[in-house]
Amino acid sequence: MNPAFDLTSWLFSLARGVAAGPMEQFEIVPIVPLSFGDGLDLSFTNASLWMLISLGTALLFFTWATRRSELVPGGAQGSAEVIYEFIAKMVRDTIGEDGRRFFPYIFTLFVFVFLANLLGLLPSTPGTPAALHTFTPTSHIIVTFTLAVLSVGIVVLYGLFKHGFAFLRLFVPSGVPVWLLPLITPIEIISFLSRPVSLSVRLFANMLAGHVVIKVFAGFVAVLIVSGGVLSAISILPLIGIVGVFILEFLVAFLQAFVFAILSCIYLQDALHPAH
Amino acid sequence: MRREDGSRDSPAMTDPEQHSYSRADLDRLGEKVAKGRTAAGLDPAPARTRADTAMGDGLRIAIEFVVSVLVGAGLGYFIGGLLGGAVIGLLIGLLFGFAAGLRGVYRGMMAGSAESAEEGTRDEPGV
Repeated sequence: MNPAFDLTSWLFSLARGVAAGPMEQFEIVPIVPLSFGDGLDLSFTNASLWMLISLGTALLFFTWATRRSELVPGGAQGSAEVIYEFIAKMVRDTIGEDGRRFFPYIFTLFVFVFLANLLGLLPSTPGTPAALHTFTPTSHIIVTFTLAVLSVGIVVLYGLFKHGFAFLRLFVPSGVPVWLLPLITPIEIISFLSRPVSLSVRLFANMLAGHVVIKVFAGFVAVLIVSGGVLSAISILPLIGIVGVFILEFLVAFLQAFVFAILSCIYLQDALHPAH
Repeated sequence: MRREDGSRDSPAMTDPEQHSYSRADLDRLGEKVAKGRTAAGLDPAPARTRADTAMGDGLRIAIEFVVSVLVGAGLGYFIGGLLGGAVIGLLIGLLFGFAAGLRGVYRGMMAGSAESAEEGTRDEPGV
């Protein structure tokens, strides 16, 4: 059999696969169907699977890293401690000492979002069913919105619990003339309500855009290679682009998890000190 | 473990002969810490955070502005619908949303970026 022929047909099949559509990677595929009809669908999907994988990775890593606590930490314990101290410092700096009670929540939030972002960058194995392809749960707005609503829900509940109705002073900034209050208060309420939306849109849009860009560039490479001649030669350019974007995506995965956590901290600060 | 470390440390402090050993130990520890930091992905990020702060700021504020307008419009539409004038509510809500968005942009520009909030928020909460 002629190996060159094999290579070409393989490239063609690759091009077909890669050019299938940049949005296909975000498709929710049920793994264990569990539908009750009437729009109630509790199927175990690839999104559920990858959220469990993120959770499992975090559990495994931190259990493994702290299995033998040593005074002089080794590599794994050292990295776990660095993450712990990084989040602890962030919580202390943004919320203050009394923000310590929120540390477990912020730490969990950061680690989960970071791992979901990061593990979504793993390559899929070609030829496996779509249900087993790498999936980024944080590229779906329902996931990020749920997390954001959780953060803002904690702010509201804790604020009301701690300050009672004085928490509503959050919507009445101090030092504003009384005649301006009918204008300022709705504005404050709208900016408060838009927090979970902008928090979730930011994370979801970053993840979605990054993955789409990588896939689109991959489509360029595949199409250029099979075009032949000079076009095949310049297919190296989008390939370099993919490498660049991919490296950038690691930074984005960390940065967006960090931004999500720190903005949650800033909002929680409101719950502790509603009067501004 | 800890006792073993302690007994290793104390002669290093009392005996000057042991000084170089302790020094090498410290160096190895420093290497381990550096490796751990890199493994955790924490080393390059803070430096780069500041480098692309302007871009991040712009996007963040832009998203907040758009979301404010949309939330204001949606809220106005909803409340207007309850009161029997959805369109009037939408228009009023749009105005308030626009105002909230502008306030957010102003606040964002004054407070600095959330990304570099480690420094920023210390004097920001009063704003």
